[in-house]
Amino acid sequence: MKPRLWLAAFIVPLGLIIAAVPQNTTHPYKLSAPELLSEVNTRTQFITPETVADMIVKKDPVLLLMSEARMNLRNSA
Amino acid sequence: MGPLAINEIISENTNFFLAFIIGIAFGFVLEASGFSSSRKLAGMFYGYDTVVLKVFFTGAITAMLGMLFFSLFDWIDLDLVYVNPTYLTSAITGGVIMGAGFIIGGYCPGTSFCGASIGKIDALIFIVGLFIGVSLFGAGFNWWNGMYMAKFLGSPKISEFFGLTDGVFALILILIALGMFRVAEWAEKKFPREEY
Repeated sequence: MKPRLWLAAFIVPLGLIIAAVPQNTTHPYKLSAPELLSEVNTRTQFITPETVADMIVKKDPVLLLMSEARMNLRNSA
Repeated sequence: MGPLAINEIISENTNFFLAFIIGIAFGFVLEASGFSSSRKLAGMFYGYDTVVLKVFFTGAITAMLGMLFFSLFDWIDLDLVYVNPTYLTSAITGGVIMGAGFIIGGYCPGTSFCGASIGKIDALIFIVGLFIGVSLFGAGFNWWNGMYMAKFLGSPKISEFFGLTDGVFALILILIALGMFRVAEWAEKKFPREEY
């Protein structure tokens, strides 16, 4: 049996499976651009700087600072 | 879960280290497959040796299936995987220059380093030419900046362009690949070369 046919015997069934199953559209951590705009406009995710400062001082585990701010906090701790 | 570095499961440094290890393995497989021979590589254009098509097309459909199954099992979020943005004019221009360089020199950039690693002189000279080209491109960038940035299309996917799901497009691409392999085998019989 030629290698091409071996490859076909293995890869075509996999292709049929991936074509038949519904595409995975679960992206729990991602908002679309309109959703983000809506969140900003309705201020549902808005936290005042005073609240953030209070959470940092109390080391509230709910708060996760991202990027450089977190690095600076780590360095200064 | 994935991509691992984006989701901070592994650090950026670990990510680079893994890329380094995978790169070495990739280079080893390239050399072991005969990709350090410019005559073998150029055989793709003349039809007497189509291993380039077979290896890279097999690699592409294997990686594609892997990504889609990983996504299906929720092991990776494909929306977080970086897709190169498309600048149509520079993509076509670069493709023509790359293709011309490939058929003249017998190497593409990756395989030239593969050839150089086992001491091939033609590969070393190809790399010198590669660096001259890169330097000229960088030095004259202001001249062709307009062309370079022209026809920006974002990060389009062929499946979205045709309104297909990624899975259906994958199946079509697999069938195209198998058809191409059949044509490649025909070409190797039609244009045989004894020694190269």
